[in-house]
Amino acid sequence: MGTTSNKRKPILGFFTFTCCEGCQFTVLFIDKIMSILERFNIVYFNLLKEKNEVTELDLAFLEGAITTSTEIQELKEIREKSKYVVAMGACAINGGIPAMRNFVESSSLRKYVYHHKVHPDSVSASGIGEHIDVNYYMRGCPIIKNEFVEFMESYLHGQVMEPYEGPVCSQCPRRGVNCFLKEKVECLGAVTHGGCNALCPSDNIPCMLCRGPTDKLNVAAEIKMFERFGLDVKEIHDRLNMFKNIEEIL
Amino acid sequence: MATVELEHIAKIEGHAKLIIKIEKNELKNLELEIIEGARFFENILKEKKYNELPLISSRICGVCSPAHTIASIRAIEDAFGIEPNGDVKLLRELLTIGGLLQSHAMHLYFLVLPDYLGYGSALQMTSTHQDEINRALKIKRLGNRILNVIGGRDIHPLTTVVGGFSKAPSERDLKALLDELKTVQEDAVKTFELFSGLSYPNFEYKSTYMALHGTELLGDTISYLKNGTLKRLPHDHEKYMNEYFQYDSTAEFVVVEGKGYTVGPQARLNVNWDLLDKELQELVKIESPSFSPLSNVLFQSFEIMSGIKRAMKILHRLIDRPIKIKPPDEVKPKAATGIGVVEAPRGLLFHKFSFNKNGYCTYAKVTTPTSQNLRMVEDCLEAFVTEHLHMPKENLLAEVEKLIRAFDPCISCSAH
Repeated sequence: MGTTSNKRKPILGFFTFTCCEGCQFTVLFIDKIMSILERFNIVYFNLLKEKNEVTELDLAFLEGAITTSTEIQELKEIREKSKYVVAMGACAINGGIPAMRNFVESSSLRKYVYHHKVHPDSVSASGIGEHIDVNYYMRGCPIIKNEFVEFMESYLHGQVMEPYEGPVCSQCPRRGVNCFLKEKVECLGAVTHGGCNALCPSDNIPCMLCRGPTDKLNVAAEIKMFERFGLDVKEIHDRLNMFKNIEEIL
Repeated sequence: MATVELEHIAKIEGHAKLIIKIEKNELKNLELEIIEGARFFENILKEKKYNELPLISSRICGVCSPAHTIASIRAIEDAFGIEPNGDVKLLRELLTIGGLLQSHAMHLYFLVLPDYLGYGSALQMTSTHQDEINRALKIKRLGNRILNVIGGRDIHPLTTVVGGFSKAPSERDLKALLDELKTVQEDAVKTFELFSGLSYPNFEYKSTYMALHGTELLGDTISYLKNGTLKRLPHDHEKYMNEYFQYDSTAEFVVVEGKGYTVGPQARLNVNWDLLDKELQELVKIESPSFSPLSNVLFQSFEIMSGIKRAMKILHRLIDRPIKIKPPDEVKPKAATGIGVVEAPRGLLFHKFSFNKNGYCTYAKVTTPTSQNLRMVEDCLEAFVTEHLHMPKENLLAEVEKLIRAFDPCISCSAH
């Protein structure tokens, strides 16, 4: 991994499925991104390069949810040819916001938005982990710039970066002071993967679970707690399921 | 029959395919197929409570996220009769300018310039065009800083809420922004000079140009320039715009009175030329109205200069005094319909929502700039290819790609 004995540059690709491309843009918005990318041989990056080819890859970043069987085929080809696959962002990890469509009944969905049949090969929207093995989960909606930079620096030194352990609460400035839960606001920080420095609560916005649930999530208990706060079931459900289909389709 | 294909158009945002069929020296068929995955945003937004809508709509697009967020918020405020105060309006305008700087700088230097300098990608230009790349990074960084300071994050803003902001930017951060804006002014002028000096393919196509009236990126009044006459578009745009789908594309195409039209930097300048900053008008010698779609990129570089100037004016009004951004303690939803209009980097963006008395969305319509441009993109491509049928295939494709990129299409937005 990373540096090799004959010092060739690692072969890198960025792939996009169904999403807003916000994670890719976040990467491009990193200040020193050019100096990082220069240390790789980039064979696939459709946003930046005229010529793109799925060759054997050392490192592949995959962004976006899987929503068609064509995408599943493309995904499998990339996995087959890549030594190390990173699921980049909520869409690739959990289906993200594109997966909210799973909650809307299929035929009424098509009738409402698209007045004729499109994409006969649609599948239930999901993250890439439903179809292939993933080596690293780079969480968030979008990803955190520093995590990408740290990951790449580690990779180039032949190491894997350890993802942050602990929920969002463990990094939250409101903890023990003016916690959202004390204010009866639906904040999901206690059950969300940290590593974001509690970015949203720091800006007075409750955590939305964009980095995905930890295994501490007890859906029934969460719903009960927020119901006691006076929120209605629909509101609780919508917030819980925004970045991942947490509950069974109601 | 010779078929020329761009299987997966590179250096644009999103997934699209172009098929050109030529037979006996005649253009038989041209199809711009949008192959972006369907996400059904208008249906996802339905039945959600109003406060979720801006968070969801932001994810229609990574590079136009401030525009979508603000358009949603404006639609909600319009429906519930909430009038944001002056400071909130200024901060939102700043946020929109930040988004414009990020987007235009990225597009011009990374997606467009390589074509004109003979490179496959900007990655190949780092040693030979160090100055240009650094300039791009500086302008982009400035855009990011604005989004971070005002919105909390450079993509998918956090602090934007119905009625105001969840957190005010600090005095120190605003002053630092103003300083940074001053240092980037020269880079903006150099950018304009660079793009003024490129040789663009010679091609004109008379379109109808639609934009927000005025020099600001947020507003309510829309004007359009058709056959030399400037007209007003009535408030409920949906009555005048016809959306349709074609082939197997997942994107919406939009027409007005059955015809395609243009939104974006070129439209903004054509519609508002007389209202622009006189100093900037004199600095540049742009002919207005301009009918060359390729010159849209030149207008993008102009907007970087005018955006920086406007941002500095706004900051001078916000510095050295307390800023009022607090949203109302209680938002009173009502059964009503609202429309929010924003000039996103690529053009006019409309969000229209209807709500029930509890504030849940019963209807959502999002009309993106690229959806509005797609008809015109196809019409221009047809005209261009017809004019250049004699060209060797490789050259034709290269010129066609320049034309597509000139519109700066955001395919994710069009296939929401």
